[in-house]
Amino acid sequence: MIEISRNIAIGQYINNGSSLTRMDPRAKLICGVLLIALVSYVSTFTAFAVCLLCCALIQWASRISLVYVLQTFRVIVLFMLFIYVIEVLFYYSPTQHTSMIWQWGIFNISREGIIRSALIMVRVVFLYYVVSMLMFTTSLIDLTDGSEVLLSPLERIGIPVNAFIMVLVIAFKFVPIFISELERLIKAQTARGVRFDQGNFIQRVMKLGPLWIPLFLSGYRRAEALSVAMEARCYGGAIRGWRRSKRRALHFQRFDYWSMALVVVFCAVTVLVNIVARY
Amino acid sequence: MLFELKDVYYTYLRGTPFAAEGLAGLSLSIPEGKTVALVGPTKSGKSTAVDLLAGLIKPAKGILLFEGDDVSAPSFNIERIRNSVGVVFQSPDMQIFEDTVGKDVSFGPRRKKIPLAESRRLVQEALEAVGIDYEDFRTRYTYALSGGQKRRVAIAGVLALQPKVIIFDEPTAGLDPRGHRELLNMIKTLRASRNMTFVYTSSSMDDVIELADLIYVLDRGRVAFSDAPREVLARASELAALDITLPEATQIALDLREVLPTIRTDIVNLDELEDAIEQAKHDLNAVSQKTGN
Amino acid sequence: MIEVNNVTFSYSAHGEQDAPPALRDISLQIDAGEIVTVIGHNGSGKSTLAKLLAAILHPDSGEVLVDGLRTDAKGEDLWTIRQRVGIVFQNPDDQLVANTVIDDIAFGPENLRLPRFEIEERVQEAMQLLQLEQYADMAISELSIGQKQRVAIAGVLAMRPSYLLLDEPTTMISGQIARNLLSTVQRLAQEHGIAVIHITHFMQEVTRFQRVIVMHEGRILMDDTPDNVFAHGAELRDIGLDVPMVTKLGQRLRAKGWTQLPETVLSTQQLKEGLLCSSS
Repeated sequence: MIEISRNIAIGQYINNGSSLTRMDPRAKLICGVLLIALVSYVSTFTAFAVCLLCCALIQWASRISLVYVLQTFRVIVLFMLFIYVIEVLFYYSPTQHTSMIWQWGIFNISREGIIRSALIMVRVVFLYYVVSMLMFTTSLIDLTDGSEVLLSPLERIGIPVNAFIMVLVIAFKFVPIFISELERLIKAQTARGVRFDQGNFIQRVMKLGPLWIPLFLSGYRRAEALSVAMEARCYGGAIRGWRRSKRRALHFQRFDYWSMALVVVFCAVTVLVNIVARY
Repeated sequence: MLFELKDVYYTYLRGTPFAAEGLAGLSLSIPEGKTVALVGPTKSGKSTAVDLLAGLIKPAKGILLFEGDDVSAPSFNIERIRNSVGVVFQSPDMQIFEDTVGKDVSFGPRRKKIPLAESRRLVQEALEAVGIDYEDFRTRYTYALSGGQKRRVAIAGVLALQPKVIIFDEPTAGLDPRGHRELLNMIKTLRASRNMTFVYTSSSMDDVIELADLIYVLDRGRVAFSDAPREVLARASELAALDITLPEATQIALDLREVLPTIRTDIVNLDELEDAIEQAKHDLNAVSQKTGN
Repeated sequence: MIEVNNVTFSYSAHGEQDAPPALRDISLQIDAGEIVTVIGHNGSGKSTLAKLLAAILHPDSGEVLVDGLRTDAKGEDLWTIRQRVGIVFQNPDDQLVANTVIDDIAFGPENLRLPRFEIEERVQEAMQLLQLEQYADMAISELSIGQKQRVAIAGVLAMRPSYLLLDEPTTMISGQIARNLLSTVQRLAQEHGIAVIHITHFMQEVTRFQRVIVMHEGRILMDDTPDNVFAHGAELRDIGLDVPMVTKLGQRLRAKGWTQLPETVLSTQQLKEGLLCSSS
């Protein structure tokens, strides 16, 4: 239980100097969004197999250990299994009676249901992967800069994009800090005699109860301290229409153009495969 | 020997891109009934050593012996250590979680299923040992306590577990001189009244000089050197190089080495500093002879 | 100039539990370029004072003026105050926002909407002043606390403040690094004409400053040069503080015949010089 951060990878930027980390964030985000849109659209296993190729390429370019990335999936595996079972049992479609295997009251299991629900799960896995890789290869500043530029048209219609992004950025910055706080809390309380790894599931969850208050309090204090420090450095996100200037200028490089082009081509190919394939 | 560490290695988050060195070949021994201090700057391995001694982690490489038994052996039950070792961390807020003082301190005994009368006695003893009146504070809310009182209650909570070893992990960090002194005095009283083994970690020599029988100076996950307090202070220049805060008197003596090269540094207060200067003042004649004064 | 006129402040008026006033009818003045230290125990009101000077808190009664502007101003004036008064806190993790060193130092200037070339200039300058050039592209999470604190200071200096508040900046740092940090800050401030207000509870840190303000239970007890403050050893001990050891040592040695030592020794440098002179 002590090394929680091993399993939680949100907000963990891995600065290994790979070509992905050096990409212009706008290009990366555009590629990311395109891939997410693609994965959301695709509906055949063959097309997903093609997507797997793309993921392999991304994995290779990122120079991050595959083992580590797969470990981060541990968090959602249980959750997904649960959702899958629910999906299958409650699956409904006009054509499913042709492949019904089992039925009892409101529950039913049909071959169509099994396959369609599996597709949804595969989709979730790919989405999780794309988003994770995006977070692993993009620093907070890059994320902010990239998103701000891409979303800036929204500022014109009054949406405070800048402030919203700052909130997200700080929230992400806090995740590892919270996790290490949690680890320290667990150690401190284990030293008091609390045993988090004993007892049945319900008991263990109950034991986590007293942790939330100190964690929340410390989180709140930190957030307050940080916001004071930011305002002391003249940050004015709370004010309507407030803007900042930027030290870094984003420039597209050749790699960025190639990546975007590649992703567009890839999407087109996958869509074609999706239309043509049978399953 | 209560604890023995032999060439212990430990890395946090090993195998991930965020791996950080904890211990790199640490060897030390903690004799029963003594007070041992682990002194070193941040990232020297103090906290990792505490986690190890508290039974929260096991060595990745090397041997940890508790009461002569190898902790990593399959037959060893880690609960043995956890039940014998109590840790007081820097921030009492992390260790106090019940709403009243009485409930919080009695948590340990209650968990061990100790009968009520015995449990009450333990709580009373524990609170008294840290200078808090049992009757007065028993029903007080923990959130309404002052910082100093919270610290005492946290310690009492650990004492109520009747540990063989009590580890203080940088307990005075961030305290002002007055709070510092109060805490130190309380720990001294505890030492005098209880027959326990004490382990104390710090990045400053101030506290440990008065408390420790043996000091281990840590540097990047291993022991740089170890000795009795005075002997360690005599190596003040090495301590300063490791970025360990020295007692004021020692720091002054070290600074004065520039004009008094033979001045002793194994001193802790003003009187000793004065004497040390007295003893070393012949150096000044040597210096002034050199400059032809 | 910063003026504090008859300021009273109480946390209980702001929702916290019943507590005695943190500051009682305080008045003081800090001129441009002054190097001041404020010392007192936890609870003496020193941190509260720092927050009032930085316009983070507003007085319940009385006023705080920074270059003539009230700290409870709104709009442009508040912005001006925030740019002129920089503050560095105890814990660097509570102040640093960005991922890399250079990006965090640039945070302040970016907020000031400066043009790109000027931001770059200021950032480079700040990094040079605190010797952080080699860490420019490093992730802040990989730095030691001492280094992080230097980044925090650089980030504030990049805004070119007129007043620099340091709220117990060495609490989480030990040994030589802490002393170096203070020396560096003081030297930089003097070179650039920035006023420094350093809050601490360590008497040893006080000796290098021109002016010492001793606080106790929300009031200013003494406000004078270190020499004069240390002449009141008994009063300091009454409130739980004391004269620094260097000074006490100086007094004792003088009594034993080392007459070349100054009456109030403020640094080991003075001790060394005094000892050398006395021997000849």
